[in-house]
Amino acid sequence: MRLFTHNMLSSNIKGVANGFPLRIEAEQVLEKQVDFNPDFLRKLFPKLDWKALVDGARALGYAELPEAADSSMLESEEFLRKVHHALLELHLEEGALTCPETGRKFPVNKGIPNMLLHEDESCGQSNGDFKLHGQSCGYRDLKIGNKCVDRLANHGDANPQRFSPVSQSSWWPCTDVCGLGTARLCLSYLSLS
Amino acid sequence: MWYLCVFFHRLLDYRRAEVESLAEMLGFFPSLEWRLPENQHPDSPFHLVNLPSEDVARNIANRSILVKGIYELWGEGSSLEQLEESIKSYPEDRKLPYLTCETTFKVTVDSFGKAISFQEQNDRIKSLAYIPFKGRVNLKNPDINFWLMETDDYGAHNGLPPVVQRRIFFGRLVGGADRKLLPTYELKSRRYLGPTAMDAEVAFLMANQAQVMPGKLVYDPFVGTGSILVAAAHFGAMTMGADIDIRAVRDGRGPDCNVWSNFKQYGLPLPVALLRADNNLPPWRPGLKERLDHLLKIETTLFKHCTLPRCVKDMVLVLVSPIPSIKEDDMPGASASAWTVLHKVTGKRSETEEALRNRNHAGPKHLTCLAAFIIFDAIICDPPYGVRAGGRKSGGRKLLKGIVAPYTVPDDKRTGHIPSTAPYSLAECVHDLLDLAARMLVMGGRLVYFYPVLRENDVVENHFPEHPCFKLIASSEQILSSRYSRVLLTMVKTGSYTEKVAEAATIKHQEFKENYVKRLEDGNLHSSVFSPVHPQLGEETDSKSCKELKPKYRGKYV
Repeated sequence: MRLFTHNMLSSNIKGVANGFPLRIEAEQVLEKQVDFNPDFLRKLFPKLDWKALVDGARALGYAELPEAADSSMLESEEFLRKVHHALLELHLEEGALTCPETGRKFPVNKGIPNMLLHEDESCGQSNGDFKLHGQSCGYRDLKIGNKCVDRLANHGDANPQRFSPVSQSSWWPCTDVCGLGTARLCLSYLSLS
Repeated sequence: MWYLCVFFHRLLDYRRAEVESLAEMLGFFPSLEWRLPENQHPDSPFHLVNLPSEDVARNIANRSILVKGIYELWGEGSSLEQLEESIKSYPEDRKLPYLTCETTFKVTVDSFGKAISFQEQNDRIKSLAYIPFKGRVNLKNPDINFWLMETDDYGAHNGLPPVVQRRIFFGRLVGGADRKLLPTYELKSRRYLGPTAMDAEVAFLMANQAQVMPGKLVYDPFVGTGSILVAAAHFGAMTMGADIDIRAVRDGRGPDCNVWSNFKQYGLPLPVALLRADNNLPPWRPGLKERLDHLLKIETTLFKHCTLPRCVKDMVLVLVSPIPSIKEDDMPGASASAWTVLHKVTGKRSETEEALRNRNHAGPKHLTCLAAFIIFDAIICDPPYGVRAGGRKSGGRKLLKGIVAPYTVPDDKRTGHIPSTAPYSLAECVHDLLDLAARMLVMGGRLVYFYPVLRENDVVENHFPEHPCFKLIASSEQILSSRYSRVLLTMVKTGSYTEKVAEAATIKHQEFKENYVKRLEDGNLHSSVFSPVHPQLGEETDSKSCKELKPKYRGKYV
């Protein structure tokens, strides 16, 4: 995976507001020669998120890029060569991309980032939306703290029927991985609209 | 000037569309004028097209896949006598430069729908003695190629209606398709293949519809074995692909048999990126807000006191948006002609001129902002529509139906966890595709994809997906069996993507889904393609007469 791709990707886990830029954890970095094409770089430059590129290059062990850049620097070939090297020639072969908000790791294997979401991260986006307080929400909103069972049952504005579990099997103890790396046990609660 | 455009007799629906899209790519903006020679059916391979210059004609022909040749027509007629008269009346100053003694030439005799014996061919060439050829003959590598083509009564053989009258054309070859590409790229010599790898010829046609050029970035969200991107890379594009199936995109069939190796096999530049992603939940970073701000700035600069209607303003924005990889000075004609068109459309001279002035005022720096945060120049794909391969999306089947609650994978099992996927219906797939394209394509960027159509009694419903950001500019049908066909849709992005537009698109899509896609869903498409035809009720004689009633005409089958 090149940093070019990294600059376009963000974590799309349901409920994550700011999943860009992904943090890079590099295990194996490759360098592959690519033909230098200054026109392409100039065209691409306004579309790049510069900070993400600089941080990404650092994570891959390349620290030559300046902290800030603007379009006037595009005149210098030296600068363009650096951008070219960082953007297109560095490959993250093995490693992971980490979501800045949830800490979820997207593995990069044989140079292919795997951006597919797990069940608990993608659900609720499609047809089977859940309802909480009468409003539709995603699955993540249903992950409430460990007191949720009593709280919900006695919740003033909640319709008890709407929040009563459909059957015993729809109770799911689950671990919620927090951003700081701590895990806490949650009980998720499902009600089918 | 009018040129004779002769096509290969295949993929009939694709022929004009390809030429039109290539003409636009080469900077010739207003839509092309077409005309049929006398007594020719629209499916005939002979067409007349009005092109601005010989260079444009040559470039179109050489890049195309289906153009057998574009010719400067020196004469035509229903008989050799008429042809002679017609050639003689063609202006001398256009003929003489190609007949001088320094040149070498060759005359080829060709026919459509019948064979001409070698003897007859020689006679035909000799009958051209009235043309004052002064150059030497060179059969291997002539400077100038003359072609004598005729079409005669072919009736039952080619699936075309019978010819009303014989027609003979004589012309000078300007350029023709390089069909040698096809044996080079044909699938049977491709290292890594999947069950739905795209045929090389069609893949090249798709790339031409998408106006692929060096420096453009082309994306395929259903990349599979990369067969479409190979064609795009051949024309010089940077390519990018995603697929939900990690085996297809990462592993292939070994280290020397995967998507990368398909590019290496032909010495093409490798894709910029391959990734595993779900088209239903694309992982691209949002940049909508910043882009809109830029757009607003430009709009206010361009249309200070403008009362032009919304659609015209949008058009101006498309026109002034820089076409990537073509520098302004490479094609000054393109933007100039664009403004002429605009002027014609609006009929409001002063306002167009003011917008033009403001455009210069806005400067190129602002205009490049238009392209900011949107990245792909073209999206080309063959979505899985459930006939030969079904689509998948994230989330288990039971999960999405609500039978099972979402569950979290325990930490120790996370690494090797394979997330469950569910079937991805055609309607949803197309909706997601259009939404993605609306968000990620540059203005004027193209979305090219296949869409399945059921054929009942040879009647095809022409209801294709719509999106407020897109204009459908070409739909070319390829008949796959008597019961279904696929249509190559080419859409061009003409409007910017906003949240309002996205909402409108969802509503439009719902209507479309209710009215047209339902028939194709829930395995209907699959079963109507594969299930046996119900035998005709009644006796054998009945079915025989039914067969005879079937029209013989089968133009689009070729």
